[in-house]
Amino acid sequence: MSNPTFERPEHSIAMWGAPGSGKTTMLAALSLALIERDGPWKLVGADANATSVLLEKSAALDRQEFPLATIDIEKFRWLLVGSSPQQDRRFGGWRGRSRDTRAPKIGLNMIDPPGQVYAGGAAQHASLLQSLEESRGIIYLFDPTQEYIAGDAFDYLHGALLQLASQMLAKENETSGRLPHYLAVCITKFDDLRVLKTATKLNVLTQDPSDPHEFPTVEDADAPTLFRELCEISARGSARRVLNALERFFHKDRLKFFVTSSIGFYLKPGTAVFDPRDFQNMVRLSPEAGRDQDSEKGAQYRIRGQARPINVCEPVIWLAERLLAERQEARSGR
Amino acid sequence: MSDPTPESSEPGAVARPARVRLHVEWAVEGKVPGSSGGYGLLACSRGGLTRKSFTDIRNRYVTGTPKELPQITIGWAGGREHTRLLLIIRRWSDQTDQFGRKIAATHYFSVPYGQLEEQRVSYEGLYHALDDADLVFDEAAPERGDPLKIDVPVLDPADLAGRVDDVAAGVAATLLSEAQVCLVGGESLTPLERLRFLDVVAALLPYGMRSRLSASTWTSGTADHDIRLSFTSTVPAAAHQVAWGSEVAVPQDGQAYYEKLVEYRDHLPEVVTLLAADLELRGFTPEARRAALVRLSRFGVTPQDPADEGQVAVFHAPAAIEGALRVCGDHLESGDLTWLTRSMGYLEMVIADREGEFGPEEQAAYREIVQARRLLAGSAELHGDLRDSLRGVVLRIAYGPVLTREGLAHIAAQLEKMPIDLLSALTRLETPDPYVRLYLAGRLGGPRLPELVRRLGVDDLVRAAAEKPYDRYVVETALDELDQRGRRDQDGNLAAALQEHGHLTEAIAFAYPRGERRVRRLRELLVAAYGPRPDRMAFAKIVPLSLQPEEALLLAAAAGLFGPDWGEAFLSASVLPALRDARYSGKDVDRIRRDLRIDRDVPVATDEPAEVPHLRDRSVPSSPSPRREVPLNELPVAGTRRRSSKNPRSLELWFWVLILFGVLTMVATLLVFFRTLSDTASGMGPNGDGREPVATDIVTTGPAIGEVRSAGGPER
Repeated sequence: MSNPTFERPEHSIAMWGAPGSGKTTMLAALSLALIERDGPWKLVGADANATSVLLEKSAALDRQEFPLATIDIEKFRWLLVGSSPQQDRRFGGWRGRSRDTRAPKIGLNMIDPPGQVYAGGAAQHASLLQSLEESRGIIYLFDPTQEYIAGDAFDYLHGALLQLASQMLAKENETSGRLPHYLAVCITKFDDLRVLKTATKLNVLTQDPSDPHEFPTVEDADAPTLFRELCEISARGSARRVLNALERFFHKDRLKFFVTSSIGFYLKPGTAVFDPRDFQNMVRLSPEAGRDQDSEKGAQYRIRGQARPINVCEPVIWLAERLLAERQEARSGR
Repeated sequence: MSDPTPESSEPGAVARPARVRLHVEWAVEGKVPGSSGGYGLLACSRGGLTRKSFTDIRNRYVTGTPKELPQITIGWAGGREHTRLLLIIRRWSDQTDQFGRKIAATHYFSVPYGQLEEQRVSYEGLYHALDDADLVFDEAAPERGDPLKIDVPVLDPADLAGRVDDVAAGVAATLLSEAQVCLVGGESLTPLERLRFLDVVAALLPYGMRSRLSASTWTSGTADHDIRLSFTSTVPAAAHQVAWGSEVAVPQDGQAYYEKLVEYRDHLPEVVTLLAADLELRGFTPEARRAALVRLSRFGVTPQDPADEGQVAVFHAPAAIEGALRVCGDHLESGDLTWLTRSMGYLEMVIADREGEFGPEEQAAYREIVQARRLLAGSAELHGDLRDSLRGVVLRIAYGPVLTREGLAHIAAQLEKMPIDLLSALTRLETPDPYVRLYLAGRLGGPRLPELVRRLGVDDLVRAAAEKPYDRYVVETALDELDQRGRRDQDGNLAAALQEHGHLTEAIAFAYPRGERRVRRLRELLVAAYGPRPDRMAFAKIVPLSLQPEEALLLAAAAGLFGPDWGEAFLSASVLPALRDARYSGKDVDRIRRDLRIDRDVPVATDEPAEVPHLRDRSVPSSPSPRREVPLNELPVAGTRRRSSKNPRSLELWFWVLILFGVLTMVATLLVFFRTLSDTASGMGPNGDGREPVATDIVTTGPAIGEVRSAGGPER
């Protein structure tokens, strides 16, 4: 990571997405992803509550279970902690005075609301809007599989977005005409067969040569292309509006797309390389799964193998870095 | 209305606790199984609470995403006659959503508080009666479900009292503070055991407090919740943590209540009964908390049968109150704080029953006891809360409910110095008298000051400052406030009020011993009242001199004689000497004179011999100069003073000097007069053309040397 900081600024980052889009699962995968990822960053709780949340969520995923659906808005403070840079005497002058070697820390106030609060009439809607207004980074989750079935992503975006814009853009000192947030748009469930096939069809799949598992990936630059294509499969045809709304309400240069999966691809025990014939990591528990889905009780799902999150920490780190840079620019008067 | 169901009286029947029938409204929150949607209200009963009401309730009773279920939350809704007690039960359903996640079903139950008027129920009783309730609704009309009718066992004080332990007492007392209480370490307890604990805690408070009590068997440390008491694994930063099974650190505010509970630990069934009988709707405001303490304090001193009027009358008789005050004094002296609080409890009860009304005669007797036993001075052994409580009780009985100036003087006379906490206690009495209010405000200062003086009008402030005996704090506080009001409002009210009270000059002179400060303070007040540049009319109102006709004539003549500087002379000759007479120091008078821009003082004519050295030198030589023979009749007589001004020779000399001066003045005047007359007659005027002479006119009488040269004129 470049640009390490020795300050401890606070950044509020809110999760946004329809129910079941994977907000909580992504948070659960974040710590694991950072551990598996090369780089200095790690995630710790800033207090006992936040540490407890971190442990509980990570533990559930580690047990190959999905974390419970969020019922009320949860807020917790995490810290992205880097590594202490080596002492550098080259620029320390003739006395050999070293640079500050404290590990960089970025405070993240995470806001994890249940998806239903993004519906306009939800009970906690006002509280959510306040949280969104206070935050400057948003992780927006777009679940293409859910959009294919229900096509409700726009429903859980539009109402809250309009109200947020109404609150923030109506202010007299607001002149840009767009919301000030940095927005990381995450296309979730990349591990799903349909999503992977769409990416293959678009020819946007690549492979990181340094990845020992040879998992397919979609580079961030190609993520918007995949997003546009996936919008076309919306059950109600309203997904295109999602993209339009995001581009209309947020600054384009503050928008970035990521293709993610919180549980990643399945690897057979004893193998270390991605198998394109058997990679789906989410399975139904019941052998009568086909019938269960339509039954009153619903389906029972679990994670088939070890969770190997894909592109989960990148949106968070991107947001944290952007917010940090913005604050430093503001302080330096630029 | 409730339907109490009596115990069965049939022979051989198993004894069954009395039950009360309640009508309960309800709502269900959850998800449609197999759906991708979020949580929402699925159905509710018809009745007073609508779908929106339940949605609001759901919004208020946020507890966080549960780790384990069932979870039971108790709460309240509505107010006054619409108050309802809530029981919220959240359980896992056996259903999952589209993503295979378990769905939590939350049942909301609402019991109108009025139904508990005759019989109280416990939370546990409600839980057992409602947990298995079958909530039936038609999917086509999910908001038209039938309300429930349930039979709930009547609250059993003995059962609850039997489960009281030190943690429950400590937690109950802690709720009588501002703290949000979180219990940690209770993971081994089942949800029902936790609910039973919450029930015991609630039983140690007046029943009416349930109308504002929220508690839960579990809350998340990461949810923004307002649940007052809950079990949790992680405690929010601002909450008061209680470790399960450990000693409770009861905050100061709840300490007195806790001590009472400990004191009555051998009579808990009766205490719980007493508290359960208190149905009055109470919140957790400071007043309500005090009332709860009063209620608990009644235990043991209230006549068992409240209907026994005679006994009540004896309890409330002045002699009994006097006795209690003396007992308080005895305990205060002996340091027996337990019995002191007990006696205070009795006095609290008397105050409540008599609504703080005591006759002047009985109060006079109480005041004597208070003074003699030094009840207001307190004791070093008394901690802050107890001392405050004692003072509060004593003040309300002997000096309340309205603190008069006489009462205040009586209190002040007992103490060398008025402590701040006593002053604060005094402000809790009614203080309609502006003087009393300013007396307290001035001494308390700080943030309390504006609150105390805010409601006083300008008239009140001026009148209080002018009232005798003057009090420096009263005057200063009033002046500060008047300064602000006058400068802010500029509406003439302050000027009018000041005119009625002599512009507070006496009060200011009292409050400010230093002359310079006095004048400055008075001038600031005048600026506040009349503005920085008052006009003549304002001046007349500030200094309303009422001269007799002959005095006015004399002043007019003297002013005419003295010319434009007569005002300065007047200040110098009349005002400054008067200030001197008022014992202003010479330094102060000099400073005032400089402020008034008076160059020098005018000698004052007095009967004392003027110090005129040359006259004295002539009459009584002090130097060893050659002595002149003085006739005997001109020598000063011992014990008398010679008045040099009556020296015939001096008078004669002055007479001739004045005559000479007069003649010379007359001659000079005549010369000027005739010169002017002749100029005017020749038509020249002073300048020959009727204009006043100016320098240029004089120069033009002859050309300048340079001009002649340049013009080529003849040279001499």
